[in-house]
This record gives sequence, C-alpha cells and structure tokens, in this order.
Amino acid sequence: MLELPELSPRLVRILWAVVIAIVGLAGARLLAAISGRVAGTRSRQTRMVTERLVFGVAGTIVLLAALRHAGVDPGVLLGTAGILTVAIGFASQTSASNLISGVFMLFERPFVVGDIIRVGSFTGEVLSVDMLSVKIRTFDNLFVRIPNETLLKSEIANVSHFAIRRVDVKLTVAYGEDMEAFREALFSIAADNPFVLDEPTPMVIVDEFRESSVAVQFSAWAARERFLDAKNSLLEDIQARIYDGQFRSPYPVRILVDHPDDARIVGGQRSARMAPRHQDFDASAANPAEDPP
Amino acid sequence: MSERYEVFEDPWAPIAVPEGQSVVREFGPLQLTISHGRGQWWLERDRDGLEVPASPRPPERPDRVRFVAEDDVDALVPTPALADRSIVARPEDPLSVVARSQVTLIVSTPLWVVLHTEGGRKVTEVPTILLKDTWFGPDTRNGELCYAARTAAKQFSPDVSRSPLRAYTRVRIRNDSNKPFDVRRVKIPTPLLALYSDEEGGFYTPDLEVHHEGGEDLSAQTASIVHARRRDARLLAPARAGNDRGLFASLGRMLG
Repeated sequence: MLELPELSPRLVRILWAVVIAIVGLAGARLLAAISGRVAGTRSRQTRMVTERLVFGVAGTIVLLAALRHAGVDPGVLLGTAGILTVAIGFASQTSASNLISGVFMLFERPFVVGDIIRVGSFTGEVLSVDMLSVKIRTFDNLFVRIPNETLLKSEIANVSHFAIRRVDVKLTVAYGEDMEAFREALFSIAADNPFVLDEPTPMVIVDEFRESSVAVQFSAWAARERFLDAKNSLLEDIQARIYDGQFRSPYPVRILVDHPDDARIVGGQRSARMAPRHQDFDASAANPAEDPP
Repeated sequence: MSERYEVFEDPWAPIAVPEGQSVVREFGPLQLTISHGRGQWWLERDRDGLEVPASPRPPERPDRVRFVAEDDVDALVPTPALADRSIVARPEDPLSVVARSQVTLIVSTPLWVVLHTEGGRKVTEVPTILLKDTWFGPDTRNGELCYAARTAAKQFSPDVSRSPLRAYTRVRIRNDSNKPFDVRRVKIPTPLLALYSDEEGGFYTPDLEVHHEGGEDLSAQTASIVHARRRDARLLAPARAGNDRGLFASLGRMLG
C-alpha cells in the first residue's frame, strides 16, 4: 500500500489557504453576479459597477482571510503597502488620475453602457465604464480603450442620449431659381420620406450668398434608430427630385472681361476662354440667372 | 403553388389556405399573400405606401417571412387591433373650439391586422397602413415617439364614412377658457385603449376627453378616458398596455 508522505503543518495550512482563496473567490464572484442582477435591473452600467464593487470588496476579504490562514499577518502586508504607497504613488500618477477621473465620470454619468458616443475621432458603442478607462466598439468593429482622464478633458458627444435626432443637409441653389418652389420641393421630400418625423416640422434655412450659388440648410428630424436611414434616403431623394429634376445644379460661374465694355460668361462644363477683343459683347444679353451677386 | 385571389366583403373573415396553395387577402392598401406548405406558412406583404400624405415614393419592398409550427393548420384568423404606439392626429383644416363650449370630434385611426392560428396562437401582426412617425412632447428632449395621422375631426356620426379597417374614437373637447382653443393635434393613446365592435361590425374605442382651461402652454392639457361602453359593445382586443380601467386619472398630454 502506497504511503503518503506526512505533510508538514505549515504546508497543510498553505493548502487550506489556497482552497479558501479558490472557494472564496468563486463565492465572491457568485455574490457579485447576484448583487449586479438585483441592483442593475434597469441599467447595464449599474449592474457592471455593482458587480465589480461587490467582487472587489468580497475578494479582498477572502484573500486576507486566506493569507491569515496561511500564517501571513495581513498587518505586515498593510504596513509594507503603506511604505510602498509613496513609491507607487509617484510611479502611478497617470493611473491615479484615471482612477479619480473614473470616479467623477461615474457620478457625472455623461453616458452609460450601450450609448453611442463620439470622442475625438472615434464614434462607437460604450462596452464598459471601468475605473481606469472606457471601452468602446467602433462601427467598423474596432475595440478602443479611452483613458478616463482623456475622457474627462475631452468633449464627448452622446449620440444616443435623446430619442430623436436632426438630419442636416447642406445644399446650394443656383441664382435665379425660384426659392419658394425649392423650399416646397424640400418639404415635399420630407413629407414623403417614411423615416422623417412629421413633427418637429422640417425647416429650410437660407445660409449665405456664395460666389455662384445660395447656400441652404435643410433640416429634418428622425428617430434615433432611423437616423442613417433618414439621412441616406433624404440625400437620394434630393438627388433624384431636386438636382436631377426641376432645379439646375449650381455650377461655378465665371465672367471674363477682356475689355471694360466686353464680357463673356463662361460657366458649367464649358472650358474658359477669353472673349476676342474685336468681338462686341452685350452684357445685358447674358442670362441674368447665371450672374453672380 | 397555385395562387387564389380572394375578394371578401369582410376582410376579417378567416383565411383558409389548403396546403400547397396561396391566397391573397386585401386590407385596404395592404395586400397579404399567404402561402401554405407542410407545417409552414409564408407571408408576403405589399402595400401602397404612406397614408400621410399620398406618397409618390415607390411602394415598400414586399417582404416575405416564413412561419413554422409543430402542428399544421389550414386557416389563419385575422383579428383587428389598435396601433402599438399612440397616434397623433392633426386636423386637416385648422380647428378652433370657441370659448366656453364643448364639442365632440370623431377621430379614426388605422387598425393593425393580427394573424392567429385557428387555435388562437399568434403568428404575426401587420399595420394596414404605414404611418409616418412623429414626436409628441413639449420639446425635443422630453416626449414620446408616436405615429402621425391626419383627421377630418368630424362632429356628427352620419358625416363619417365608416371603414372596416379603422377604429373610431370620440374625443370630447371642453374649452372652459374665455378664448378660442386652437386644436392643433390630438393624441390618441391607442396602446392604452381597448378595441370594441358594435352590432354593425364597426370598431370603436372608449371615449376620450380633453379639458382646456386656458393658458399658453397647450401641451400641459390633460386628457382622460371616459368609459362610455355601448350596450351592443363586444370587446375584441384588450388594451396593449394593461387594463385601461384604472386610467381615469390623468393620462398625459393629449393636446399640444
């Protein structure tokens, strides 16, 4: 019969400590999951934060208990930690800054898990809000980690905060076009578009007079989830019904004057050429619709 | 699979489709093609576009969905239901209720087609008319996403042309202020309303009431459901959002 070697009491204590740590951490994980489920019935973020908090506290207690069972005095560890704190403090300024920023962010709640945010050049869905960083998934499926300190200093646009969004389309109208008809055509496009909301009513803003055209902003509202559908379909409809339909595309217009009394309008697809000096040109005969302001 | 085109006076009659055949049933602008295979159904829908307004846009692309079940049935039963979101009906013509008066307006809303098996198990539901979405609230931050519709808001029942594909709601508007009350829109909280039918087969909901006491903030008006159940009323579908019996209290803003 195989005889097992007699284990030293110290080794037994260590093995028991390992068992306590494994079982205790599993229990802490279970407790965290239950707490998260109870606390975060409405918000994924609340659930995530609760789980981590409970697991952190319970896990620390379990580890301290395991160390104590193994014969290690936690007081010694804490004393050592106190001495190390100064050294670590100097070495981990960035982490500490991120940590504190994370705490501020948790209170401020500019976004929650699941929101779509725009930070710098990144736009994506918030996967998690952690103590040091926020993880987002961009629409091209990149995993991006943004330090909390960066977020606290940055301008954050929460794209999905409100239920409806405005689609802004910048347009140009050729001089001489009937602005009232142009406006009505845009309203008609919005009315026919199934993704555009009936109210708030769409609006047309005449923005500025440019060299060859009048700049116009057309704004319509859509439900947050249908924003892209609304934008795409509006642009397609404008292309089909405005520029391919009843209104001219505002091509750049140039008037070349070779002689103080002569002028020739060169515009659109035509190549520019100078008016011959000997050729008389009646400026009033030119199409006034193509005159710049 | 052979296709049969049915012309029914009652669009809500059961749709019998023997195995290996297809049946086309029209619900106003909505056309449902139902095909029956062994243990499975195909539902193809086509429609004439938006209600508000008549749209020159191409019709919605027909979509075809396959439904399967463990047992086979030879018929589907269409039943009417109210919209799954509130409907904001705007009067076709600007409407104003004169000072210190009370009127009752009739507002109709399009119905949804809910398809069940003969055993009462739900297959799917389809709106008879595609409505545009709209926002109902005091600003763009607070409010509710609803469907948009236009209403003739007629006062007298004989003036209203009855449709078997619409539900009718009587909205009583009491203007207790000394100024005319401009009714710009009426919100019909359809998810909170039960659907009834009368002996003639018409569909209607409980009556609604709006009480206006003045003030510029029209959105602050509150509305309540008035249970005016007729004798010949037959409950067809309970309210989607729970029982509406407990909603005598304020139901939220109906006019804005």
